[in-house]
Amino acid sequence: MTDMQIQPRSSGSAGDKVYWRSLDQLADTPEFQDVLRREFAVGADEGPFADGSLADPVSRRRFLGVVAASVAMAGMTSCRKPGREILPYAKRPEGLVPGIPNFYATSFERHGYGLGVLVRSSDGRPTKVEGNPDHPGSQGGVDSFAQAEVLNLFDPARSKWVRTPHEAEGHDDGDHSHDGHDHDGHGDEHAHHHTLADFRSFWGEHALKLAGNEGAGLHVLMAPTASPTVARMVAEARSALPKIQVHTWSALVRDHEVAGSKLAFGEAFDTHHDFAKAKVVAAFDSDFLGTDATSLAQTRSWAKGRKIVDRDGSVSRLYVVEPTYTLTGSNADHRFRLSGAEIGSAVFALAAALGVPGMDAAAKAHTAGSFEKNGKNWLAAVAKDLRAANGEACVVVGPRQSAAVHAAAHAINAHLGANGKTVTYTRTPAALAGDTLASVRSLVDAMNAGQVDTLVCLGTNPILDAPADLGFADAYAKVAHRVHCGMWIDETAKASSWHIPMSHPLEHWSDTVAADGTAAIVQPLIDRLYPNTRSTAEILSELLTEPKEGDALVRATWQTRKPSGMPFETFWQKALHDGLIAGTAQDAATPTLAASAIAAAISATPVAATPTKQSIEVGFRACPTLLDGRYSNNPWQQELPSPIEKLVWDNAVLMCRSAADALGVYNSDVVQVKVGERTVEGPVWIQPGHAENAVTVWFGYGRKMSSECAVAEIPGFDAYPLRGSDAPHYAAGATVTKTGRTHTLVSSQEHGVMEGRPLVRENDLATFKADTQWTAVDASPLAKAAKLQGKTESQLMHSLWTERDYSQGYQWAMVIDLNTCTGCNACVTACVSENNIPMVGKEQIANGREMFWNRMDRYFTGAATQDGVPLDDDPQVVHQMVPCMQCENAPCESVCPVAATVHSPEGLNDMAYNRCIGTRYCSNNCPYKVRRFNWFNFNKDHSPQRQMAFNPDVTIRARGVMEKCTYCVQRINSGKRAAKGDGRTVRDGDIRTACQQACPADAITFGNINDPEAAVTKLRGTVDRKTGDLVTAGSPLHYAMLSELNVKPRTTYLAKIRNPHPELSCADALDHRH
Amino acid sequence: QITCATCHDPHSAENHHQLRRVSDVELMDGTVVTFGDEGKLCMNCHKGVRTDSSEIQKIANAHESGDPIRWAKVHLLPDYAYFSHQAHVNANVGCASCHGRMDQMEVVRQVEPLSMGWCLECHRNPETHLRPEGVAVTDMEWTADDASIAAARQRLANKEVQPPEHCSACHR
Repeated sequence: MTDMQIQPRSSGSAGDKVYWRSLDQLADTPEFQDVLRREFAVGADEGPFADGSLADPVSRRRFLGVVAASVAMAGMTSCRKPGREILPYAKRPEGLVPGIPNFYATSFERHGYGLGVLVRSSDGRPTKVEGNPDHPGSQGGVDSFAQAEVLNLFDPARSKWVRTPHEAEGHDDGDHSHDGHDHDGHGDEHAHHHTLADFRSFWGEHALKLAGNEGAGLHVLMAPTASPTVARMVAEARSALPKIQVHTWSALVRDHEVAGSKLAFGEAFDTHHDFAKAKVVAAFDSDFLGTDATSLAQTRSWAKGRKIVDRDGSVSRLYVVEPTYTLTGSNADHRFRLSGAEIGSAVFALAAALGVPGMDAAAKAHTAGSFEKNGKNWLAAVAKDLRAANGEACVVVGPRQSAAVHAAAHAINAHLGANGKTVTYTRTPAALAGDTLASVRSLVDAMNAGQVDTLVCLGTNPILDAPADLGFADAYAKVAHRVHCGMWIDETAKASSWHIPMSHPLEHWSDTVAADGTAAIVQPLIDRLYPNTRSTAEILSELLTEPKEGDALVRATWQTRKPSGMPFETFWQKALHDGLIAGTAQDAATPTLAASAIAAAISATPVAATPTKQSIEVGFRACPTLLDGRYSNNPWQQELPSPIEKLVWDNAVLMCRSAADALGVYNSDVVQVKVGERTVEGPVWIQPGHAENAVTVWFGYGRKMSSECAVAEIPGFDAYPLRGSDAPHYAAGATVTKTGRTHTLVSSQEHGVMEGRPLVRENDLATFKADTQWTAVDASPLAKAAKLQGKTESQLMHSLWTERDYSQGYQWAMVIDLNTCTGCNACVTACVSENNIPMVGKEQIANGREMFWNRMDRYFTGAATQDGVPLDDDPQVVHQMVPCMQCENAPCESVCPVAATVHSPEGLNDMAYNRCIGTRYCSNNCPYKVRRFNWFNFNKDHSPQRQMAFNPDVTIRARGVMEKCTYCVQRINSGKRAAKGDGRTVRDGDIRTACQQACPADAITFGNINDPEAAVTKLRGTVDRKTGDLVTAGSPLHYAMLSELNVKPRTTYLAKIRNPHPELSCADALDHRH
Repeated sequence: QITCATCHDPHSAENHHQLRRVSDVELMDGTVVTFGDEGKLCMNCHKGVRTDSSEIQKIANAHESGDPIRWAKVHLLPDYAYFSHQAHVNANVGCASCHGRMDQMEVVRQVEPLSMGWCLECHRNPETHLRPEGVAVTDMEWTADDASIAAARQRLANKEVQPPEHCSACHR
């Protein structure tokens, strides 16, 4: 390791493309050099209590106590074979064979809309969430959130009992978590618990009083949901108690989107974008691939438009204008960083440039802002491109922009001729078409006016997430009867007089409606873990003093809605089996545009002031891993590195390098952010590509839940106190000041550095099509050398020893498409869930001891300096998933002294845990750094609930052994066995690895390279193993990472093809031929 | 005669204890024979046979109450070894190869070590355990002869049977 090839910040000249993984690498600091020289990061190979410079108060011991939250299982530690019993089912459920997992279709809800999934049930326990290919909300893919639901279900800290004021307020403030052993799921036994019967006896009398006043004084605050059964129950409540007030609120507000369509069309419509058909997409502050609504379906559709494997193909072009780097921005061909306030002006200016009729005069007031980048008018180029696409284009606006901006986008899409081609509309369900900000505001007003006698917070947590200026907590205290229903003892539960625990969607009946109108039934995968828990619809029936089971409630809804002529049971069984109700999708609507209303709204919009150093803009965002806080107590989501920053277990005040330099701060320095009189303090993280004079904060951290919810308790700061109802997305006029304190942030990005070699390769579409000689293999140093001799790389590769014969049987391989991969992390969580990968905590990640079997690498790229903007302020991003490469000539195997890692005849690099003695030589010798070592017994002390989430088909590893990606060998084995049982060989597509199954972009191909018809073989091409001569050509984009080492990886990549606009290409997408 | 397959269903892949599924079969004469879970199957005969035995009473009680019978697990494989009965039965490996002469045991015991070395011994030289077509896996008396060994070698050569020897065949 002598030849460091890292570009110092100042040395690159314009035009040189530089890849770096972090600021430290770019800066070439001594610290980074030190990281490079080590096999693991600082501390990773040091003693168990080495804390180095890390002064984080979360010790490993405490972390284990927190995450395990358990009692050790008695009698499981004997080293002799214990006596065991077999307890078969007394009455075995239909269709269940012990040991064989079943899949059931059900549905989750996100942003109020349905997301259909298939859930694996292993001996009656839901253990893995997969996508439902038939459901429009998932289309076979699944994201990290849906997969992490398994851990929410089995969270031992979930609320289990009905509580009354004394317990809800008093008992949970004490911190009794230091020994880490009282969180066994029954750790709150000292408290006096109530059951639903106690609540019923209170409510029965209370409800009589309320009914006497026709429900006056009874208010319900619930999350927006399109569920037909919940809507029916709300309607029933309204007819029984005509004066009941039902409010809706969710921190992930979509009010502007709704208001924008009402403004444009007079009614609320949902917009659906068909990115697969679009040639040009311009996204304004829209994270449609990440945290915004229906992102799964949109990722699939976007990926279809980006799929390219040969020179005949084509890809769409994506422009993104946004203040903070999002997943969507990281997939853009051109990205323009702009403060949130100015993005509206950019959309109006675009409308003017496009000559959208009726509003050009109004829009022209907003063209004063500069959309210049590198001497080119960026927006003019976008307008030209959109127009040239002839209707195969669309403009997308995110929920953070105002109603007028959304309306302008509708007008632009209509003007472009996109409607009916790339843009379709359906009516927004009534339950989602309300103004939630006005709704929660009217509730607070009513509470302050003393009009609220009883408030039921149904699945909502307003004390945490209601806009801070409303003073929800103070108003709530004035309410006589405060009923909270939720899955955890959260902030609102603590302030309530009654708390009712809620059930998880995997243990109750309900129904959902997807964005396109397709309905689906939510069916339980397991009985209620805690008998007192109830679903939203069930609690509404409790409030009506007619408690019913969810099953009966949902059936009753569909009795009247099922298609006529079909017996109910037939309909019901089919709906449950399919995971959706066929024929419920809405027909596309063709709303009429109210051009004058839009023009008036644009005229009424003042031109936004550009943020300055004195008047900084604060952007509020759902966390890319915790959303609004619903995954705060979920270790998988806490430890999942954020897509751009790779931060774990923390949020931060995100800002660009220049802003940090101006403040004199660096990563981990705590700053105070002040908006008006409200302040929060949090550590800085420099996000290359963040808008200037603006900062971004994420919700979901700094929670103050019950002490049992210790995962949520540890990290970050709460950003909600900064968010006001007047500026729910961007607050202007903020100040940021240095506090002088530090809070160590941990990012997983420094680990596994690959020293500047061409790991990610890319080209732009025009060059790729024109230069027929170019292939992705060319960038390899050995390929370059071979070219001088008129040979190919594979012809020059000679092994020191006789290579194995891989010409027989199954030979597994994987190809990862960097074009369609968005970097969304779904594969990472899929692997964690499938392969029982332990979470290790912030301190261990700081030590380089993360356990992820596949990681999502993120590199920043771009020309060294342009337009006076330093490289690290406005870069592009590439993502690269790195699982085990399953090298044919595996370097790890040759150094294992005990033959614990050896090759299987099917080309897998097997790892036998029981042989491993933990020398870690294999990891030392792995060029890809994909091997993970169990430094501690992370799996020792799991609660009984947590144990239920484990996949029984994969060994749970103990301390002191190496582990790594197996290509999901358990899935390979069962696929082979199933094929053999059918008397045939495995067909292409029979076996899907967990990451492949989850991938919403369909970026992963897996199969048998000895099958000439397999998709993976066609992408890879075939090479004569003796001579290295090409036999059949694969994709010109196909390449192997570090192929020059002759390790012959089975995991390979398709190079990324960018599609820059020719007029902008020299501006921000320079030489991409890497 | 009662064979292994009367109660166990080794075709069901990774079914850990291989007990038969519930099914009621009505015979020609109208008798209903119940195959199935807890005691139901046993009670077909033990309604009348040895009803005074304390062991049989356990089964009768379970049948009555619906509680699971607490069978003692005799053959213990470690949790990190994943094993499929289905693959072995499909290859026509006899029950006795691993479980011994169950028909001669008064009390069932484990006669083979079930160690990895023992597994691999057979995986490397399976000829004497691969039964020819027509011989039931449940046949306790069967022993290999020259003809069966020759037939087994032929099946191995044809790759009809490919006993794996690599780690991930059983460990994952």
